[in-house]
Amino acid sequence: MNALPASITEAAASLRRRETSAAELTEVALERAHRDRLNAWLLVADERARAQAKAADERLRRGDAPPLCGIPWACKDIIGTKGVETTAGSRILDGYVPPYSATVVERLDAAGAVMVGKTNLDEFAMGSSNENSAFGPVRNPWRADRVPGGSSGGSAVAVAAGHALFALGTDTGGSIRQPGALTGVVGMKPTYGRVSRYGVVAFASSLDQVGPFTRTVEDCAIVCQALFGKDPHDATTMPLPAEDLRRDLDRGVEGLRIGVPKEFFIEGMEPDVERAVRDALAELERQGAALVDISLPSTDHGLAVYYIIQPAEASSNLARYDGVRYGLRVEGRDLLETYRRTRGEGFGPEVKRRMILGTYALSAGYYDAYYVKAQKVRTLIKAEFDRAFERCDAIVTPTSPTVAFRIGQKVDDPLAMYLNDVFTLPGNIAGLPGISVPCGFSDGLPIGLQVMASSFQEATLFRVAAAYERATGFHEKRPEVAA
Amino acid sequence: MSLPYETVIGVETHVELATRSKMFCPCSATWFGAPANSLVCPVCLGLPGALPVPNRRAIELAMTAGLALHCEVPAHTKFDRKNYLYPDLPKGYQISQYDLPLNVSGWLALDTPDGPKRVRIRRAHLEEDTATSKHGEGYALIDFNRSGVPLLEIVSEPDLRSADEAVAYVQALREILVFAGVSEMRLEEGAGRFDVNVSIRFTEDGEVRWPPQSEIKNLNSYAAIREAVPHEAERLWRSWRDGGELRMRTGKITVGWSPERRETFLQRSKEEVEDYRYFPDPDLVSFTPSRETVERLRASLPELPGDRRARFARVYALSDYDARVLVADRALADYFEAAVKASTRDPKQIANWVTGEVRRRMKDAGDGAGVPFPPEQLAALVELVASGEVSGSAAKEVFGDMWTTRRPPSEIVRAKGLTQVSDEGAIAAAVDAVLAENAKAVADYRAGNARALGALVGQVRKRTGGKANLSVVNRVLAERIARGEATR
Amino acid sequence: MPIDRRTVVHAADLARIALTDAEVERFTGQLSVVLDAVARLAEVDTSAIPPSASTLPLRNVERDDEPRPGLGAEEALANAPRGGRDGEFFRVQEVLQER
Ligand SMILES: [Zn+2]
Repeated sequence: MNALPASITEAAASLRRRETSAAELTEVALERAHRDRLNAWLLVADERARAQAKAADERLRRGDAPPLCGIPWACKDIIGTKGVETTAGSRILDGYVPPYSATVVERLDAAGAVMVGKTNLDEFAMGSSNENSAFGPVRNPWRADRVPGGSSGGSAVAVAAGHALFALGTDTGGSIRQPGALTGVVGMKPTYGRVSRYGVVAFASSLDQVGPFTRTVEDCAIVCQALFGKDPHDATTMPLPAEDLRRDLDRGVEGLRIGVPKEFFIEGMEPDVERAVRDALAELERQGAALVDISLPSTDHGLAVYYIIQPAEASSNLARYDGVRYGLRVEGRDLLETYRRTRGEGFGPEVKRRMILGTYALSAGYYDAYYVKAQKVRTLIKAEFDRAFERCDAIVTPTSPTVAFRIGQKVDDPLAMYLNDVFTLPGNIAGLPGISVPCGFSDGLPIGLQVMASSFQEATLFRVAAAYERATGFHEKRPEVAA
Repeated sequence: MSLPYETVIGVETHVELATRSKMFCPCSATWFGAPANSLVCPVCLGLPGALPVPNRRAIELAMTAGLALHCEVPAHTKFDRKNYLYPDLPKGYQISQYDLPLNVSGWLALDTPDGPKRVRIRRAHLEEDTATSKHGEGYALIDFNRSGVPLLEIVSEPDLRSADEAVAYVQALREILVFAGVSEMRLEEGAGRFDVNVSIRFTEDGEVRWPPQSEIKNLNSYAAIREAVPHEAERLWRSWRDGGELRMRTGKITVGWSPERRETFLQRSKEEVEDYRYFPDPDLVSFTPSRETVERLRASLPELPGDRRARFARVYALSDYDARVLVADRALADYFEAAVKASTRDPKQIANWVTGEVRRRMKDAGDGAGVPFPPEQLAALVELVASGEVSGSAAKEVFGDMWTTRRPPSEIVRAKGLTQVSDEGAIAAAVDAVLAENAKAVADYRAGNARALGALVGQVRKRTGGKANLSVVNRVLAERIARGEATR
Repeated sequence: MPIDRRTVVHAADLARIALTDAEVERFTGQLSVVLDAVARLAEVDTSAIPPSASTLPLRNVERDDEPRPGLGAEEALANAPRGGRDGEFFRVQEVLQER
């Protein structure tokens, strides 16, 4: 075997037919991760992976293994892993080895999944191109001079290039869905409160959510099934009864109402992207869905709300990196100077930019005009979504206004970079689930279709995305780099 | 001594709550004396990815404190982040409460030399404690055991007018909190700390002047408050009088107190005031205390010391002193009330035993010791005395025996033969014999030497083997002497 | 509200981040552009709108007061930066404004 199976479901079936073993899948994944030329990996955890594979094979032999048992996966390096260095893509965490694992890692460990290693990302998940990593940019497997999107670029690439069968990312403004779109894989952000954030290095706490990258919508539902659920360590997880997230995968969209918000079809969107999304809408309609024109008038203000709340929360979340208990310490004359130098040298430019923006937005005299105002408009945006979901079951939009852009193209223009997330960040502001699925190509680069649903209605989201996926072959296309 | 200014004082009291675990993590909150950095976890060390989960008991204790201080419980409350970087603050922010504290607008009753007074409580909010530091030459050593211990910050209005009043306030506050089980508030372990706001008010050129206050940070004993407050007030007065910084100042300054040098020192001036950038903590959800919870806590609130003292004085007709001594120790007061309930005699007699012998023995026995026998036994002993069956002095002996053997008093009296002789015939015989043998003493007594009677009483007691009921002896003696006089 | 150098320097001080002059210069320009875009929020009428700190329909999340062992001192101190450990303590330079 020199390549991984096409999906988790295929691999799981092979494992149960004894055509392959967890050990074999793991060796393939490790080998591909080690050979990676796209800078997707920051650390490959050979020993840990082999030990997990061994245990998984025993479990498979016993016959009581859950669906993810023996499945190799890639972990965004912002998710803490006990005993395995965790960098958050930053120099400031230099040498930090967590003494505990994030709840999501524990759940995947318990499910028997095999963690191959830790993937590259924008520093503290701040970025949309993966160029803000302290460890160099990640390249897009579809064209190596292009970005893979961000901030979970390494995780997206690990799945797109066939190094792992799924990956975890974090999505604060689009950091799973946008790189999913730009690399041609499924990327999904669950409803805020679905997945524990415990042990995940915090970026913007009211927006962050962990979610999977997979090859197929069904795989995505399988991973979500393992991740979802209340965590006593995270006060912001919802106590909901367990549900079968795959229950509606085959139901089709006939009779569903698909909302099409006019505010998401804007100037500046690449024509190929708009065409692909319109085609996708037509496909859903052909399958029996009713397209409903809806309006989300405050969408326009999403970016502003996001660029206040997110840096404000981040400025506080990142205050703990002070060189006292862990990570980098750059000593100065006195403690104050040590703080300033540690943080000045430990953080990269984008992080510093957002620290300053967020500190400013919270500071005396500006708090009401910025932070409180943004929270009020947040209320408005959420209310508009709530109203829209009275008229439709799902909302379909482009994931990103563009396909993968050239490395270096937007690094000096923060605002242009921030605009990459303009279609995804409203979902974070309103806490809604969203999934990006491949919906075509522009000059050989993948395009993503975003499906959003009402809070905690992931099953509906999977239903729409699966119906679309069945009718198209886009998710089966693989980049040549990966071959 | 009359000062040329009035001292205006408000106190912020930080109290560690009596929980078993910390505010936002399950580490033990019993940090005092534990080996350094042994009671820590990802949450209270501020490790990347750690999240806070609030301790229900801490929230309930904070609400209990509020109820005891007659505070209002708001319909809606939340936690906020107070952002500042300091090595004893692992996250770079402290989880606290800013604009929606758990308790607002209460009061505490205070007895002052000028009569009773209400000190208004502005707010009482929950927060987490910081780590502790040890200071060396040019460096500090940090121990995170205390990091995250629940703290209640109780803020009074500036209603206090002297250091003595401020001390009386914090003592009364401590009494209430200890009584309500909110905190043990062991000051020697740093479980109670005070920030005292001091300002001076005076009339100058016919105008009332009230220059900006000083905040004396982190006082941790009554003695420190008693010393630091007048010191700072006087310093402010001199500064004003001499045209010093107080005349320029527009906002409050923060000072520390050096107990060694017995003076305050500047920590922070208004110009470099911290900007804490408070905002709601997105890791926590808001709280709407339910009516049931509030009522449950209110119902379980013990009678507070002030109320109990007043009731003891009213219902049991005790002196203010007795009421104070009893109520100062909740266990003692409970014991007293149980004994009263078991007795038909004057509660004052029970009180005498409890404030006297019981308290003395408990003190001797040391911390945590209770009374070794049930309150009904004490009531039984009081009954033996009141009915005249044993004498007061014999009763003390019986009490001592009860303490060590835990046997019921009647049994001890019987076994030791301590029953007092109250039989008039027997006593009268002894009296007659004594009067016959002590003609001189009788004459002295008649001549006006009252002390001579004491000698006679002693003789009678000796004759009856010390068991004669003294009140009977006194009465019979007086009768016989009087009769003798009349027949002469 | 345009942002100037002084504001950037002040915010960096509050955030305890040392910036080079070149960074101050660059950030001032970049953040001005971002804040211009953000300033459009002022146009939204929010007079009757309450702020949302969270989108989560959850309240009163608490845990029982049950102590549980955490990390040992050794584990807690294992990540201390070089020079940041002294026996069982974390070690830092003298704390500011202390005596
Ligand atoms: Zn802890």
